[in-house]
Amino acid sequence: MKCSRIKSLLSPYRDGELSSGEREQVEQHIKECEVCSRELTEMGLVGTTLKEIKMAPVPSDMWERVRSEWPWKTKSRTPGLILRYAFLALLVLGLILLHVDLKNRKPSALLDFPEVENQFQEEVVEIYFG
Amino acid sequence: METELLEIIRQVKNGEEEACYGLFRMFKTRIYHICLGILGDSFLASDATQEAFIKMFRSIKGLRKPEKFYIWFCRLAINTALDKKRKANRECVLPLEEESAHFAEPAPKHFERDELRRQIGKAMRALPGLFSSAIILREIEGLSYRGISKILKCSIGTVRSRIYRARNLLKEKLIELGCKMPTPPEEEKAERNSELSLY
Repeated sequence: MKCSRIKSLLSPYRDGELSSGEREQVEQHIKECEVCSRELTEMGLVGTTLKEIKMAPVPSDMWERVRSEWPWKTKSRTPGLILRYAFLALLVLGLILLHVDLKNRKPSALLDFPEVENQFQEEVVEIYFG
Repeated sequence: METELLEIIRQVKNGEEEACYGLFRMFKTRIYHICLGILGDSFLASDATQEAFIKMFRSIKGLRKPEKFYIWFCRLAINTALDKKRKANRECVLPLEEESAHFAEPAPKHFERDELRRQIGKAMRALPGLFSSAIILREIEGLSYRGISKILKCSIGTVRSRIYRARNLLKEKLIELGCKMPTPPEEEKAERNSELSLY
C-alpha cells in the first residue's frame, strides 16, 4: 500500500479507530516503511505534548467567580420582593378599611353614657311589653 | 456515577446551591482544560470556563434529556471558547501570559515546563477552532470518534479528518516554534514493537 494512503490512516490508527483489516495493513506497512513509522512516533509526541494541558491547575477562585455571577440571584430575590409588596398591599388595604369603618360609624352619644343607654333600653322594654 | 449525576442535575434544577457546587466540582477541571486547549491562554480560558458554567446554570432547567448533560455542557463550553477565540482574534488581543512573560521570568525550576506550555498555547491558538476542539476532545478528554462526532454534531469521517489535520498542523507549528517535544517513553516503544511482532 502507498505511503499517502497509510499516512491518512496513521491518526485513526493511533486512536484505535481502525477496523482490524486496516490496522493490519498499517502495521505491516510501518514495519517496512521508516518514514511512516517516524510519522507515527511524531504523532505520539504531539499527543504527549498536548497532555501537558491536563497538568494546568484550575484557578482556585473559579467557584467564587461563578458564584459572584450567580444566575439565580434574581430568582432568589423574587420571593422577598413579592412578600414585601404583599405586606404593603395588606397595610394599605387595612388602612382603607379602617378609614371606611370610621367614616360609616354613626356617632352615638348614648354609647358614651352607659347609664342613659340602660335607662333608654328600659323605656323601650316598657313600651313594648307594658 | 450516572445515577449520582442525574440526581445532582435534578437538585440543580431545583436550585439547590450545594448540588450546584457538586456539579461544578465534577466538571471544572475538564471544562477548564477544554477551554485552555482551544484558547491556548489561561486568562482567556478562565473567563471562558466561568462563562460556560454560568450559561449552564442559567439554562439547565430547559435541559430535557439530563442523561445527555455531558454532551450538552461540552458543546456549550466549546462554543463559548470558540466565541472567545474569534473575539480575541478580531480584537488582536495579545494574551496576557505573553505580556507577563516579558516582565516576570519564571522560576528556573519550572522554566522548561512553563516554556513548553507557552509553546503549546501558541500552537493551539494558531489552530482553527474546529480542529482544536476535535483534537482536544480526543487527546485531553480521551473521547472516541463517535463521542466527538456527537458533541461537534458532525460525521465520524469529519472528526477523523479534523483530528488528522490538527495533528499535522500542530506538529508543524511546534517544530516551527522550536518546541522540545518529550521523547517517547521506552515502554510505549517496546509495547508498539511487541504489538507489531504479533503480526
